[in-house]
Amino acid sequence: MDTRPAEAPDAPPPPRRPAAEVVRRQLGAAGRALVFPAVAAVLAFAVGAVVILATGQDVGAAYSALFRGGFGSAGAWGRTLLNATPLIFTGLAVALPFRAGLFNIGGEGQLYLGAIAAVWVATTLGGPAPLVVIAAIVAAGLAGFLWGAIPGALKGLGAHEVITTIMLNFIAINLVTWLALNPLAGASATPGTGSVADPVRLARLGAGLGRAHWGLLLGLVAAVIAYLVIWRTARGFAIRAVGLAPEAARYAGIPVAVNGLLAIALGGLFAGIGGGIEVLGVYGRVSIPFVANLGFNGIGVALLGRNHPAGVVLGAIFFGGLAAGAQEMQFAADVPLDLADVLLAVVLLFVTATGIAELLIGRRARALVDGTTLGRGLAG
Amino acid sequence: MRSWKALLAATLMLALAACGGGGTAEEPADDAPAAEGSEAAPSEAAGGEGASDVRAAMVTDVGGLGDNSFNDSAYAGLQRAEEELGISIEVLESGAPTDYVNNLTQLAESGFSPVFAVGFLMTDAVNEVAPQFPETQFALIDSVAEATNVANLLFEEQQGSYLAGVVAGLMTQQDTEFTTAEAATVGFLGGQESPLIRKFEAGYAAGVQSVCPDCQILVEYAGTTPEAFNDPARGQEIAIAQNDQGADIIYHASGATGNGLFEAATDRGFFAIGVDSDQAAIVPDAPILTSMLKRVDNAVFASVEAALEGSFPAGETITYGLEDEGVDLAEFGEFSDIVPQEVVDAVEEARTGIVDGTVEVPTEPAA
Repeated sequence: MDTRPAEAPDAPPPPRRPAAEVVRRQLGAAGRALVFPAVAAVLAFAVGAVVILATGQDVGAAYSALFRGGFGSAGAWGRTLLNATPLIFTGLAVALPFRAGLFNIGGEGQLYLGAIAAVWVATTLGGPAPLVVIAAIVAAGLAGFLWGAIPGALKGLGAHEVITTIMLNFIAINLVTWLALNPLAGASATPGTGSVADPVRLARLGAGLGRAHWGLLLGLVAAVIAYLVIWRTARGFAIRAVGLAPEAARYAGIPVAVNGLLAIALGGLFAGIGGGIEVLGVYGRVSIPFVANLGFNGIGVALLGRNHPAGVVLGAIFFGGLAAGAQEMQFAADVPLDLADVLLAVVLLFVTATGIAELLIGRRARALVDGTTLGRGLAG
Repeated sequence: MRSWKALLAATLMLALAACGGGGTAEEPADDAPAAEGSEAAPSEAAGGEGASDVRAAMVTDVGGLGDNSFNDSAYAGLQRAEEELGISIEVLESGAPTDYVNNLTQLAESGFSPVFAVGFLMTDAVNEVAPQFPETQFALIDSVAEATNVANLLFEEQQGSYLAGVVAGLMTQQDTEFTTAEAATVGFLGGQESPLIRKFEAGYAAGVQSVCPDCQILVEYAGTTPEAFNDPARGQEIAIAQNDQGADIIYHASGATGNGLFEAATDRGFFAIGVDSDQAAIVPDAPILTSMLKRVDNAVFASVEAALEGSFPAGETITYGLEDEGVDLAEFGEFSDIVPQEVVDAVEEARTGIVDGTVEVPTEPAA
């Protein structure tokens, strides 16, 4: 299947491939890309069942509560989507740099900086509310972009991005904590910044979806933009080339360092916007302690979503649904909250472990299930 | 290609087998819920006898159950209410800050009342949820919310700390296995520098000075961020530094950071004073002279009792102090032999003075 050369996007479609055939191939590629995460999820639930049994609970009751709490009603969907919204952004923050062969562990810090930048702009800037919201989100993205550019630049100097992004998390989190407790401290009873005025908050979606807010739609737009950037622009082609074969890219005249820097900074941009949207949509302020692990869970979301924007959206909904369902499971079936973490951990274990299996089988099988095939299929 | 499909099929088979295994193994587990059901039955019966259909619930903050601190303490109070008052109870843990609103909403929608929100981290969530359920009684621990159906439960930590200060000020002047009479120096180890923890410091310092005006009080905070409550290494560092400067009794209000103090006290043989719960029982190897108790359990129990009597303090802010056993000092336990009677008497005297108002305890340290 890889013997045909990939056509340029604007090349006339060859007669052998009518539109229906193209769509069928695309769906097929998407389906194949979903196979391994789906298998991993099934396996994880089997392992989870054993854990539930071991703690002496009723598996049927637990899992029906889990499903009901995550997807069983409009309210449940609302909780799921509320949880999923920031994870779409932090998932993209990992997935996009991954296309350049870079592993961005810095989503947590980038999200924190985005959150504080959004609060700062939203609480100090006057003017019409919609413009303030836009300015706050732009500021959040810019903060994340710049913070992501640092490990990107250091990578060019030979510092490994995994180390630098991890270390920059500590700096960002402590910096944000200091900012929230000192120059931006509010008068609230609990430590943290002042609150963003109501008109500057993101509205809720309504439709019985509880606290889910318009940030979700921004997340979906971000995923589409990430897809277009990566697979429909020359810059995206350069980033992917750098990720797939840096030496070949260099030989073809594609600057490796610049594209790597840009990829990880774009990842930071998404994480930063995610932080800003979490503040404008949910909390209205940065309290100390602030939300934890949204950035790190983004790594899991991206892994589960095979580093493809569409997969990231699905992965985020899966993560969000599990977290929402775990609450219901705890309430209705007395299963401890920690079981959801166990399930997530096992899912990720199997997702990455099947990755190992693919490596053993060979590159061709691996390419089949890899998001790159899906992307190439959609682009062709 | 074919081998890949074979592997996939095998994986699926394995998954199915695992599922099947789960299904068949389900039967023995049926005992467990049944046993639990029979366990729950008496309490329901007791509920019938006590003519109480009150269902009380609590939401933990992200610290969750098993924190050896206020979440566990609140739960203990709720469990006591279940046993003694015959109510039914529910506890929901929060995995993330977004869960606060969800959990409070779920409990209110399900008819639980009162609903306890444990910890100041939930202030914003209570402010959001409580107005939506005016019929539900909420109680917020360690903070103050605006809604009229919320009882705000605070604690006079400075009062209990004052008693700890009295003990420290007197014992540092004694010659014992752990203290020397020469350097009259005591220490205070705070967690995150904040108004709450400064209350502990203020009461402690006042207590020390009331019995030992010449005592030197070394004060150090582990940091200015919440991490300062979870930094045992920093706690140990500070404890050793204070001990080097002559402090032979150190009181901490620093959460898990205090574990570093206990480590240093064990190694070097000086006294530590614990906080929140009777830490001598939790860390039996460390020389913990006593602990300042913050009885969240008593506050929770009292609130449930008030709800049963129809006198739930909705819209009010209640501060639990020495008078109503909201704060207290733990028994000296294994060290009761080396604590002279005059120290015990001085503590009782201070307690009486605080309760009847003749002793006023500051909430902010003297500058």
